[in-house]
Formats: sequence, structure tokens, C-alpha cells
Amino acid sequence: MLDTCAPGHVFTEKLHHYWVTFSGKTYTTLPKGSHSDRGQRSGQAEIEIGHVRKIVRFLEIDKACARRVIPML
Amino acid sequence: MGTPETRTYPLIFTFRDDVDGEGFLARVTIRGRALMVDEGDGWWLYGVEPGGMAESGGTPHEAYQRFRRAFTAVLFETAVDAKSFDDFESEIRRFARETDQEEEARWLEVSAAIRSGEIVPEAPFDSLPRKSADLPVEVQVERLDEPQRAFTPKDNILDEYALTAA
Repeated sequence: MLDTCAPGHVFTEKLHHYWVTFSGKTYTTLPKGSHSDRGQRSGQAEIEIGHVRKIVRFLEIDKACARRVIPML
Repeated sequence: MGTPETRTYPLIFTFRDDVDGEGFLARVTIRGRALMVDEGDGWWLYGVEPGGMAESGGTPHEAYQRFRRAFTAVLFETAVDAKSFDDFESEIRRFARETDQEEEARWLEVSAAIRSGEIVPEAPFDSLPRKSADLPVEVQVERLDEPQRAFTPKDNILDEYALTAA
């Protein structure tokens, strides 16, 4: 979703979370595991959909684009 | 009360943490705003200002506890990359002031609804302390490892977690 709808975003692994920076703002509490195959296989992707919704709102990502990529948003 | 649409509560919190950095010891105190929302499958505490954070839980209390812990984690993560106290202070001020515009609009809307009596908070929110929605967000970043620094018990504060006032 970020690759498609937030071109130029920066994804950084920190001690406890991933940080996502886009359009001059940084989302700081994306849990580790939520972006990886491991997280998706374990069902964590569903758990973390709230973080994705928040990222779309906070980073002002185009919502129509985000919904095309992740219809459950 | 009780429908998910109305189970949205505007909160004001105050957190204080001491943070070890590379060659410095800092104290961060932030009074910020957040929105507690029942999303149907769990409670989410969304940062408004600072807007770049959120946490969830099965209950409002669990969501709050996870949010509180995540807040401290963000401070620690910021300290890892800070090359100096000034660098750390600058980054914390930036983090604290980044506002979620959409969440802020909801926060103001629900605060107004509580103030007008349109929304009557349910438990456990009805027993929370109340603070004015007009309180400004505040950020304090102090350097503690200075020889002239004076310490007093009056500096101690507890975490606060309040609902906006009716």
C-alpha cells in the first residue's frame, strides 16, 4: 500500500517499532512483524489493520488509493 | 450510549519519562491529546497531538496501558538516533507537535458534544478526571545531567489521563 500510495515514504526499523515517514510526518508505533511475511502468516496483518487505517489518516495518504490496495480499509 | 459510533472519547494525558541518551540524561513531559475509540473489534487509542502513534486493546484500560508503553518506547527510540541533547530535544518537539488533522477534527467534535450534553460518557469514562478541552498541548524537554541542576520532590508528577470537561 505504501509503495503504491505513498511514493517516497521512508520505512525505518527501530528498537520496538517500525517508523513510517511520509509528507513530512512520521508514524512511530507500527509493531514489528506487521510488515513482514512472518507477520502476515501469523494472522498479525488483521490485528494491525487499525495501525494501517491510522497511518492513512495521519500521513494523509490518498484513501481511495489505499482502499484499492487494501479493500478492508 | 453504547453504539460504536458514539463510543469515542476525547482524552488529555500527561506523561513524564526520564530518558538516557548518548552522553546525556533527559526528562520529557508532554501534555497531549488522544482519542479513545471503540472500533467494534477492540478499543483503539489514537494520538491526536502527538498524532503519530496509536495502540489497541480489548478494554480501554488495556489500550491506554499499551499506548503509555509505546510512548516511552518512542522516546527511547528517538534517543538511539540522537547525537546530542539538542538533537534529541528537537526531535521530541517535532514528534509531539505533529498533529493528526482528521483525528483532531473528531476530537474537537466529540469534546463539543460532551460539553453540550449530547454525549454522556459511560463507564469507565464517567469516572475519569475532567480537564478543559482548551488546555494547550505542552512539551517540556529538560536536561538533568547538569551540575547546577537542583532536584526537589515537588518535581514529581504522576501520569494523568482525563476526559475533556462537560
